[in-house]
Amino acid sequence: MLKEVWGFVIGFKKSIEYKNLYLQWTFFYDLALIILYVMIYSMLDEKRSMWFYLSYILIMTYTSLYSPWKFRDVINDIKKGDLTQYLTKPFGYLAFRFFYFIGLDVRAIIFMLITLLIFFPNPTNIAIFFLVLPWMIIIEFLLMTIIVSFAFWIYETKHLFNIANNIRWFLTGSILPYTFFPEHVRNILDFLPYAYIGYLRFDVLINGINSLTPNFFAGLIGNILILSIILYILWNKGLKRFESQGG
Amino acid sequence: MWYQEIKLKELIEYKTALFLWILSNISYFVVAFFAVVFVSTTTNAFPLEVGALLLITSYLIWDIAHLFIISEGMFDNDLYIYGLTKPYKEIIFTLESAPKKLIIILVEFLILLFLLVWKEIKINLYFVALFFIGVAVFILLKNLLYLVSVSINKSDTCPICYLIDEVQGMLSKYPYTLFTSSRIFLVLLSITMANFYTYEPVKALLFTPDIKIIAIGGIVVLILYTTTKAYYSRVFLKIFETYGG
Repeated sequence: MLKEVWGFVIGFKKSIEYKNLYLQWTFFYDLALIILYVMIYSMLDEKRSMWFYLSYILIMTYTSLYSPWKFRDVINDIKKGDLTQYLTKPFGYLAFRFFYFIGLDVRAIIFMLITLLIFFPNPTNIAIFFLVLPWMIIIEFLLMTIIVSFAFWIYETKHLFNIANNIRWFLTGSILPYTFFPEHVRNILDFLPYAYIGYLRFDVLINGINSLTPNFFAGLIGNILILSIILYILWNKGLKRFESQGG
Repeated sequence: MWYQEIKLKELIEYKTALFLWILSNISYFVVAFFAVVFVSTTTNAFPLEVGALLLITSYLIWDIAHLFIISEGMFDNDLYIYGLTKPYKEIIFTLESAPKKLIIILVEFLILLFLLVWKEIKINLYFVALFFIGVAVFILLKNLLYLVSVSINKSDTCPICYLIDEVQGMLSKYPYTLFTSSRIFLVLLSITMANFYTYEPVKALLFTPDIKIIAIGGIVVLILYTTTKAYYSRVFLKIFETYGG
């Protein structure tokens, strides 16, 4: 066979392999969740509709398409010293990273919009969802950057990142819907940033305008404010340490 | 003075890393444990101690199994280090993290013992035998499937292993694949297994001694072990060497 044809075949196989793996990941992730919820569903005394859990899986999967692993770039910049390249530029590093991550997520967000339009054809709720989504993304960015900024002090950040992710996946409701959480725990969680990067997305999509209570906005603004202050203090302290060590 | 200070800093860094590693391992369990508590208290489907017992058992199975499972990536370069110069069993038994993992296994085992003593649950030897046969079958089957899949794909990407990991995650604990941390959520499947634990037929199957099942299990383990070993030395290694690792 011609070399060009072989080249094409290898390239095509590579592309299929990548997409195949991606599809498997997404598919099995959903499949595992469906089985999980079916099993939990069978245990419930007061049965909710199965559609509730199916839509929960779909929404939680497709609204979390942007992976937290991209924040490893920040860790690498700190640890490898690449941060110095940004410190001399007028454009702040954090602002750069924020917009860079948005750029990375655009495709995922478009895909999310299409999926939501197919499965939940409620334009009002989707519009409300996309109005509050940017604020939720800001909270996620602030929270994750606070965690990764510990790389200024700790050399081995892999495990710290693991711990943070475990807590994140649980408290966002990605593993277990908040409906399974006891009332008093939920009352606390509703004000934590995790609710805004997880469960509340589902709530906004299902309940639309009804989910936008004064508490929702208080939590949203409060979280952004508190996280910004913490990040500001941590990041500046970290930068001082970074500079004193010569980058 | 400077030297001592650097050494001290290195020691602190190492200790911090070790501490975080232990915390990271424990965090999976803590998260799963809270999930058990929440599901148990909100659904009333199973007693909390049954959920906790199954959870720690599934962790124990997973961690013991993980010591022996061929890990992905070994087929890139590591096989040169471990595989070609060492006999088959050492490939399975040699894993860098084994000594550290043993600490975790020991802790899990102690928790399990504590639960057994605390809840006055008698250790059923038949169940223990079934437990180990199950683990052996699982490990060997996965290794065999992995070897076959790698041989067919001619690379270390093993699509079928993702499926195995998923099923394994559903049955015992988490998979290592997917969005990495999804391994926690599959822990919950072991929690839901608690629901089945309370079913009488399942209880009868697991705790009523039947020598036939043990014998069949033993034969299955033997067949799987021989097949895997033969496949590895006669088929897999030849393909691996042809492709240059």
